[in-house]
Amino acid sequence: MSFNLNLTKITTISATLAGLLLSGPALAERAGLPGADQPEARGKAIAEITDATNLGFGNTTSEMEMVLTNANGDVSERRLRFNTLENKDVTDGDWSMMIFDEPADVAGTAMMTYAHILDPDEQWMYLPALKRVKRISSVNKSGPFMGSEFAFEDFSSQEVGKYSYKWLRDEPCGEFTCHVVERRPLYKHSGYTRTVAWTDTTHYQNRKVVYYDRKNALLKTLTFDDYQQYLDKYWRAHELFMENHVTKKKTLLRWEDYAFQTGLSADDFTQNSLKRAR
Amino acid sequence: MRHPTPLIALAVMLGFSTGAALALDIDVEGNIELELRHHPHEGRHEDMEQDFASIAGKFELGLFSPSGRHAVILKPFGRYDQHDHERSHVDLREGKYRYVNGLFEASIGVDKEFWGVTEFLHLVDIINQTDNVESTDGEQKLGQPMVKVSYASRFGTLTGYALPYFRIRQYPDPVTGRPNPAFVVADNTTLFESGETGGKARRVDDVALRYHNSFGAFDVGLSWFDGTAREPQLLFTGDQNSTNDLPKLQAYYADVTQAGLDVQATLGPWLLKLEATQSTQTLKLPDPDPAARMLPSLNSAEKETEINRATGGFEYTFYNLFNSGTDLGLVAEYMYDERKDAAPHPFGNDIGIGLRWTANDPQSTAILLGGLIDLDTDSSSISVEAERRIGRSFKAVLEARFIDKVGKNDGEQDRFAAALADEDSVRFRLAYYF
Repeated sequence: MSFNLNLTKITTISATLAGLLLSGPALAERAGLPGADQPEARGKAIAEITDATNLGFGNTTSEMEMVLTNANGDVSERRLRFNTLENKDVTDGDWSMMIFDEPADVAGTAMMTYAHILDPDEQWMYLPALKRVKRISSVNKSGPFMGSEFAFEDFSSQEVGKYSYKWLRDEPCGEFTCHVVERRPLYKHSGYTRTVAWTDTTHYQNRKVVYYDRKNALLKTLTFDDYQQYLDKYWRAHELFMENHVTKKKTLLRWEDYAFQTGLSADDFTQNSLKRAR
Repeated sequence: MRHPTPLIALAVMLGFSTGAALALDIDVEGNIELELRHHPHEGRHEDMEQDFASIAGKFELGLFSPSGRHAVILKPFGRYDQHDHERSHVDLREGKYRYVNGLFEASIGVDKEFWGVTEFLHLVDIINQTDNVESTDGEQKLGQPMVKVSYASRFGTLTGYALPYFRIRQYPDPVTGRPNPAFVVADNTTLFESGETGGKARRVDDVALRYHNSFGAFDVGLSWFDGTAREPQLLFTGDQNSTNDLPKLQAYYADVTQAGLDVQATLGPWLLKLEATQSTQTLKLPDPDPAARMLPSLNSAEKETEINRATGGFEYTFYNLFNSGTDLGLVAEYMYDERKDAAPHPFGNDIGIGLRWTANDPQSTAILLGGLIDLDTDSSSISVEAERRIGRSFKAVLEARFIDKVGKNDGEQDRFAAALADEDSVRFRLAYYF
């Protein structure tokens, strides 16, 4: 469950800069991007550019607060921490560790994931009450993550190879212009027939994703906010808001304390480290 | 509750008055639990209670150096039970110093180690003594003093243990306590293979070694243990408990060597599991006296015996059942002991079936239904467990365990099921977590 989502890699730029870029009719097209007559190639190229913006991030630690709101407006909260290690092998996924802090009864529970592209991820769960490490199935893609409106697959590493792509159109999106690209999951057990992602043409980061269920009916919308840049290169959205149009439930993820190149290495992603996670 | 800020104040408290302040991360958490337990059947003796109130607490304190290399972890546990004096107990679940450097880890102190993959019966898991008064499912363990050294290389994780003390198994209060197993075991008569008697803990030189690795879909563990058996043989004494006429048995702990194998294959929604052990110990053979009812006695003949046991099965989960967001898991495991009915435990030739439903709602509602069937005697028992978070910090658990059928094999009543036939229980627990 790599938490280094490309979903979060949304660019923000100042309003002035955006204004400048969007003002001219001769909107600069990224060099080498396939044209509108090749929608599949264009869609995939956009995803590859997005992916490349995160290349070399090394490793990160971060904290997350999750606010769940049901249709009646009742609110419950969770807190988690994430450690992520970039896989230097670009043909494979990243490694991650997720540690639960709240609610207090699950504090100390931790999950470690070795993500892969199309092969199933390898996942281990640590249960502190029994001090037991349990290898768990990574088939659970479409189920809710911690009772939220995020599915497990929304949290997974969004490697380029996990989807097929089709560019739909370019259109204004707030202060940006966005490529609108349809993605269809190639991995098994997805809860979606397709998702549609709005990727800004300035820094090639996602800005909005709309999810369609297995019957191709509108299911939920994810929007991104409060972007910050790290190491002058890597962008992270600090607020992700998921709204389920069917259940009317909402989940807000608020990311805090992102740290890059923290000294994490493969040594910190063993089953012994999982047992020590805190 | 996590306090990520360095606690300079603590350094001062600890007496580091010089400028070299010791900056430590400190974690504090724990829970307090109220438990109400009801046994619908009257006990074997009028002194045995049917309703028990109990309160328990677990506290965790962790001190970590900023680099994470050094850590001191303390986890004391305590319970007070209204009627059962044996169940009122305190235990240091963990109390250790730990050093980590890269892939190397070493610790000294009291700790808990879990080995294995199966759900119903933990065969290879042998490091810690079972906390037998805390729960009847065998999942709760007493803290084990140890020195542990572990190295997690890419070729697998190798861990060595020196276990300098052995702790005996506790049994419920013989007069008031439930479940009452139809016998009484007095701590002061505990006998060891060396011939020594008595004591709740004993200085020993037990050792263990474990290798563990993941090969793609397979997680494999190999273990070896040379020390004091965690499960005693119960010896017939001919004595009876003065208060309630129950037979007084003597716990006998033999020296045992145990080789263990545990494997799990994770194939899509299927988890296939196997645990197997081969142990060698000097067993006392059943006393021919009919009054002993198959139990050995102190002066029984002894025989060095090799015992092969295995358990295994599958776990299958229907994730996001009918798109409801809920999961339904099915567990089925077979338990085997080559001694079958003659084994000193009920898992000689049994099947366990479990059904786990998790709502995946904000309150983490879950229901677990379990059944155990003895294939030799047809005895069966059932357990139901339901849990749900209440508000932010409370969790409620309702648990019922009952014997469904006391069966027979060749006209002989299943002695384990018969002993517990009137010991059904319903437990309600409300815990506050901080």
